[in-house]
Amino acid sequence: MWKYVLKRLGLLLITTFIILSLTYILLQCLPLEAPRGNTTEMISFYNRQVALGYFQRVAPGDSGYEAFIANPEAADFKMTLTTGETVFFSSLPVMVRYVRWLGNIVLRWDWGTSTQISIGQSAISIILRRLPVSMKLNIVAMIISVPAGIGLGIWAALKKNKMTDHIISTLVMVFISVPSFVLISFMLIWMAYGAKWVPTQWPSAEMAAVDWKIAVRGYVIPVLALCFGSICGFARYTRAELCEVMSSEFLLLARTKGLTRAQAVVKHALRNSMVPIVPMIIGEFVGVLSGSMILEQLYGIPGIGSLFVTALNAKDYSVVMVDMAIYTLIGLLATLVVDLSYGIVDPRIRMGASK
Amino acid sequence: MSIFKKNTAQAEVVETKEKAIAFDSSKDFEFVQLDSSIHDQKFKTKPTTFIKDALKRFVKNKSSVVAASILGVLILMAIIVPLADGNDVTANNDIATYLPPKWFNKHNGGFLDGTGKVSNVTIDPVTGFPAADSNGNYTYRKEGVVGGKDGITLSDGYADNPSSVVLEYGKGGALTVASKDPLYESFIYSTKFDIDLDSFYELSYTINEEYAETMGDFPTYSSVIVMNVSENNVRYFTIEPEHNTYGTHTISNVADIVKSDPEYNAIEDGSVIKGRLGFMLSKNTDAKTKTLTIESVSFKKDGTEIKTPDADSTDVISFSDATKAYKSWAVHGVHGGANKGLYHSKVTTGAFTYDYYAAAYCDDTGSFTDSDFDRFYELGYLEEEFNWEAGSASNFKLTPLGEEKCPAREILELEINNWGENQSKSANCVRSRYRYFYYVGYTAKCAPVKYFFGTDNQGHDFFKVVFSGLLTSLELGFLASAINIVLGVIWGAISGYFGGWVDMIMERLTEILGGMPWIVLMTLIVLMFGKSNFWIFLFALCLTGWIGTSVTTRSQFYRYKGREYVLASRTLGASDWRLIFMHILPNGIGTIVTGAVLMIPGVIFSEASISYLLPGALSFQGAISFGVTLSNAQTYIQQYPYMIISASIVMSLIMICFNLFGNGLRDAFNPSTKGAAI
Repeated sequence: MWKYVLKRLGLLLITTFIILSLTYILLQCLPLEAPRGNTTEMISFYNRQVALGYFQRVAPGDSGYEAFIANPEAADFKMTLTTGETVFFSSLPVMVRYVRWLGNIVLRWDWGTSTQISIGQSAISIILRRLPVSMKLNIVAMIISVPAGIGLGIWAALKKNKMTDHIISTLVMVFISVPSFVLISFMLIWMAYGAKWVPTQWPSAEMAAVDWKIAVRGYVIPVLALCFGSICGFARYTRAELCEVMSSEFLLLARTKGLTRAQAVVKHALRNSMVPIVPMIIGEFVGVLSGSMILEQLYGIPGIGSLFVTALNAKDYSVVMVDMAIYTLIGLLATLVVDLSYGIVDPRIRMGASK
Repeated sequence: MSIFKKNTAQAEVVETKEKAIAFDSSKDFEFVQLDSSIHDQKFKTKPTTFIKDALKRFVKNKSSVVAASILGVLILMAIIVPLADGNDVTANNDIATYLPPKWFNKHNGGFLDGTGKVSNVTIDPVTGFPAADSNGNYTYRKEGVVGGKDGITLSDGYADNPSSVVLEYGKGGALTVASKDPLYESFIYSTKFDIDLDSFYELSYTINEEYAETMGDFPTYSSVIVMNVSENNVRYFTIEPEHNTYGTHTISNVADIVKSDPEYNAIEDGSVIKGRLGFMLSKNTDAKTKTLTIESVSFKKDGTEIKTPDADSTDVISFSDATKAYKSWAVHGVHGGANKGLYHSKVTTGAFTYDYYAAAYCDDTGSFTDSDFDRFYELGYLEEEFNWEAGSASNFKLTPLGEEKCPAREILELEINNWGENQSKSANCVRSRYRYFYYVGYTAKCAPVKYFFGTDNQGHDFFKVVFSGLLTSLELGFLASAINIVLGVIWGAISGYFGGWVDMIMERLTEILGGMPWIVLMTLIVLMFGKSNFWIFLFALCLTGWIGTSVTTRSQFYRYKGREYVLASRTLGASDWRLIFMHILPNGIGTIVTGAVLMIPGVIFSEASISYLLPGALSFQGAISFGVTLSNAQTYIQQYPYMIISASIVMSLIMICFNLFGNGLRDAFNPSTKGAAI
């Protein structure tokens, strides 16, 4: 088992490494966006890039200086010193930058600095500042959606092919099909603009600090938006699993040996139907870290999802890289944890065992 | 029936008995089927194929059939509506913007009849109808007010936002000046007037406590006299110490205070100087917005209030009616960090039902040039060519067709201007707006058009916009699905059929590609190619979209490749190609087809999501997709929610129907998975 876990972890790291490397190289192939800001910030930015090894600073006397004098467009940034000399900054080849980038991460854990969103701050610190918001939201949504989803699923399965089941199944179908942004729009129109129960935007930290009621009400739309999907997912999955277990022979045996329906369901059916559902819940918990991009964008939530979109729009590639690293890692980890938890929940399943 | 059978049976028994009695040895053994030819009987029931069988099961699933038919209708509409609906969705129609949906001509309480209830509209006390702003533009035209004057419920109210309508019709109120500049003082001051420093000036002003508290933080301020010493040299003489108190303040002997100021000595230009009266908001220490609310100012020279020679604004220095002061008092913040406003002006407001369509299609005045008149004649609207030299409107005779379609109803006045060589001729006419829309090509019919989904910010028929977008998205969905299926099937088939290290490598590749967040990949592609268009978007959607199909196909191949029929075929010498495409794939096709159907809504969803997230980077050129339409409508969610509602309903319908249809297909193709999660 441990050998298998280690093997999977190793594979996970390799996959992450390849994905991130590919993204980095692809991003670096795009034209560089010069940082927006005043000259001091620009100069410090370029000097930092030189210090990190992504750029070269070509001063008079350095090799290649003549080429830049002849063709100043080849340089990314031109600066005239107080001495009257012109210094050029130009980016190094992509692969060189890639190797140095790797080196910086491995040796110094330096993922680069933001060029557009908040110039000069390290990308990691920007992400870390935004992570708690996304996490809090997802945790609240999980706490609501897991019991609600499983409960609805059980209810529907116990009343199979009756009115209750039909209503629940239809609702699940509808809510699974309707895209989240449509749901958010309707909730905004109804609850925020129409009835004015909840704020139309995520309350800012200052507003939330003044009045905790606004802070709580700000959670309503995002949590509901996050919940609908997962409640429906859990409900559908639970219903399908429980229905299958309910028609199995061992449950018939349980009833024949004298258990009541309630006893049979609680002691046998539920336990067995939970086998595939528990990994699903665990997988969701790993996903707690990631925010929903559309939701955060539409409701103005300062989480990592909206950060990703902002960074992409502003072409702040360092932030994009770190954000993407988080998303990739979460995605792969979720798969791994789900796979492993099958073995823990159901001892009959031996992960990685040969046929 | 059963009785009859029984009788025959009895009869047979009797017969055999008789036969037994009359025994005949030659007839003892008889070949029963001697003369009949025996061969396989044709099936009486019709033979069924896998597809027919699936279709039979599908038809039994009522919800899927309903979903499929709704889907069919929507797809048909997406094809037909952009062709059949002749309304222009490219040119901007500035008049018919934001019309709500209208389905019925009868008023039924605002439900899809193109009307809406509005309240808090400033009413012009003279006409009794909604007032125009200072530029003469109407937000609400009187033609649109349902029930005319009687339809308006009047009430007196206070307007706290100085819209231009309020400035025109409001009474009283307080002049506010807000500043948040932490570095510099901000000023508000009157127009210039002559200050004779030998006269006796008295300033008295009121800062109302009641108003001030509702307007945020209260500033420290003082009153000042501003003098232009020379062209570029402005001096501020504070005539009272800085303070932050409410109430009425009176400062007498202003001239002496100015004269006693040490800076005054710099001015040598006699005792009469041009100056202004003003208030100075001190520097902010905490960078919060601070607001001074001045209710009235009285500035007296020798006992009489000062007025400027400006005829339009008689009371600009002294005021107790802030609406007039609002215009002439100027603010000055060194970094532009100050702005003025009007607070608590008394206005008459009205609430009424407003018919947006009646207002949009009413008659107004419009100018038509000579080329327009030539066209009217060409189109047969005029009985004779319009004679400009005749100089009167008398020869403007409309034909019956013209009475129906000519945008100019009657001529109000002619304008003939000579610009050197060129002569410009135009006529101011009573213009029928709906005919005008038809004339310039905004609408396809020469009649007041009912817009089912209303119109958007550019006056476009939103019904057509939605379905044109849907068509683009469906095209994208179908194409992307087709490509993804082909790619996925080939990849999955090779990976699943050959297995071993081929499978291992191919699996890792899909894992890497699938592990990248699709939104990143998509953005990267679009950023790399620069501007996005349909094909680049399609490419981006296909880059990872096939992975799902390849996984399903791979598992199908693992399931079937060891079966006996495959082995049998292989022993007969079938090639790999034949085994894959002629034997294994047809058996696993059901699951793959279902996946294809469910992929279409997935593609539409992906497209819409990315349009929501990166509206700038990914907007289509030319054809606007459904996602772009939706995210545009999102902008107007607060003011004009009908747009997002109608577009969202269509979107939801499409998604629900595709999913129900897909699930129905899956159940039909693979009955064993019925009811299971996808």
